[in-house]
Amino acid sequence: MENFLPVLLLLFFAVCLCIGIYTVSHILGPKNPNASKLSTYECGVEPEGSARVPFKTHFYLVAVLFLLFDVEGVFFIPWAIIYRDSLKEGTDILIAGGLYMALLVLALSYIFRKRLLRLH
Amino acid sequence: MTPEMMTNLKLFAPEIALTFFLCTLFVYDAVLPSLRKTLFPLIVIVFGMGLAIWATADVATGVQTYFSGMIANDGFGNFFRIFFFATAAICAIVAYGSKELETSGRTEFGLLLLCITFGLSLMANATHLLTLYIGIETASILSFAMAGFARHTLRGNEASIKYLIFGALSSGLMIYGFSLIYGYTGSLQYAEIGKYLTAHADGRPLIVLFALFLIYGGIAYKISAFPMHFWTPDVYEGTTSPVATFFSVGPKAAGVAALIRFFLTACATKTGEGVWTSIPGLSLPNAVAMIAAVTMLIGNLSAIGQTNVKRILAYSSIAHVGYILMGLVGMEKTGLTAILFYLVAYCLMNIGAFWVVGIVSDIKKSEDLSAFRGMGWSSPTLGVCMAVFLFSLTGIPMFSGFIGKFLLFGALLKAPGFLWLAIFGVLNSVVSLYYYSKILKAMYFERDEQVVALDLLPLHRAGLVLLAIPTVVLGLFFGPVIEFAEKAVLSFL
Repeated sequence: MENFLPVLLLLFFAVCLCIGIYTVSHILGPKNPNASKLSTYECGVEPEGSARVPFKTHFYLVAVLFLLFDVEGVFFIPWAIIYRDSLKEGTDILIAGGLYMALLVLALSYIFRKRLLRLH
Repeated sequence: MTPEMMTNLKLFAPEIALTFFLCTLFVYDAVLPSLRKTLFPLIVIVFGMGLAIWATADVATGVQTYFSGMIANDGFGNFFRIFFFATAAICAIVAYGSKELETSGRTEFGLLLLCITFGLSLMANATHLLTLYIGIETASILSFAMAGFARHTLRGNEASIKYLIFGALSSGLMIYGFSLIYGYTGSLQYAEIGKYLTAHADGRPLIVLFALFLIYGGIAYKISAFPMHFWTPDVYEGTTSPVATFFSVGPKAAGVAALIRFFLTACATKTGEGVWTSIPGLSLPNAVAMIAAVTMLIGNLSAIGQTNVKRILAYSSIAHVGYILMGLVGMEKTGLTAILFYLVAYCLMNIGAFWVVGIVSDIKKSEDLSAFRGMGWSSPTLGVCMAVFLFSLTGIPMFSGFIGKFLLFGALLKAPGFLWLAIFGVLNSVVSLYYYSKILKAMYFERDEQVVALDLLPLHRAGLVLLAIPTVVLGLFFGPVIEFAEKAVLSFL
């Protein structure tokens, strides 16, 4: 329990700091709102139209496909590390890696063929 | 190739065959889209499943674990592999004969089905908590997609989201349980966990019970047992009927197999040929009995007031899980044999019942009880087959459901002190007769305004009869299946 006391203290201090800064700026800050100050910020440009447009779910598909191929790359790394030394014992490592890559190339060709990465 | 690698690949052959046919469907869908609307995917699936079943029979050699102790190869696991492959083939036939499944999406449906079967097979054969997790997640995530297959309907989307949220919650809880068990026992393999828990039976911290309860929660979500059964009626009602057919049989059987494997290997010790005793302090029979009783009660009582037939069947499937869990209470081979037999009988009658609901919903565009009015007279085949399935689900003698329940109650009575559960189960079966009869009453005792003779496709007629015949035959000639199940249980790792 004694080991966790510093962590608890840090947490408490962080929360107090945040609340303190908010409160002090709320008390000490001037309150003169006008239309221009209250409008939405859009990188310096005048905002036009509503912010609530239907979100294209296709973006989710692109993100998930990125995740899958990223994880594929991560699994390639240990294979690449032991590849050179394992080649001395035969072509097993080559076949295993080749099969892994073939399955993922199959998935990639499916994606390309069905045009899943086109956003328009 | 090292001999160990050769053994691994040889024992994994059914799943490799499954993956090969999966890739065939992938290639086929991308390269030959013009053939997508034909029956080619169905032929691939059925042929692939047949090959996988043959491959399973071929690897049925000694009891061992492979892939460095992560997957088991024993009679119990092979029984379930054959069960899943056969269920996938039958459900593919049901799906392809249904009008709810758009013809352009057929290959993708087949892909999802085969991949879920792969996940189910991993679940049932896992001897390592991570393999179990991979199996559950493969099956769950693809089930979310399959539940929302009719993606242009509101109901499909709702069913999929409800399933997703519940599944994500349960997976999270389950893996938290895994991490706690790993922290306490130092291993994720079932056998090692069991050894550690037995060796350190005194002074076990409460966190272990909590962790086991969380792991149970994750598996209970898959089999829709209490307390994770809430998603079942909404999802079954919202998805298309073929999908509900598969969900009510495949993942349930896989979850039961995973439950049996985990809790009998990790939380009990094997004290004889087909007999287990619980580790002191972890009373498995009492816990399972409580859960079975509550699950049965919830399923049966909630089904009474329903008017949508798919919801009735969903609640009935929850109740059936309660009956199945009764067989685990005794923790010996008669109970497990009863569970295996009951799963086979349940598969046949539940696929049949859901198929009938799918056919009626295709014709009448509604799944309410009112859509079933007079169906018994308009289409005798449909009526008689549905009567067979519903009587079998109730547990009326001369059908396989009765034999299953009889075996389960018999196995339960062998364990001392659980007479209350047996009486409770019988009372619940009596209650279930009410809502099954409601469907039959609508089919035979109520007339529709216009009596129209229905034309069932020959596929439907043949399929329903082919499912109804074993349901009756297994009620009279059940010896071979029971022997097969007993052999499978005795060869449990």
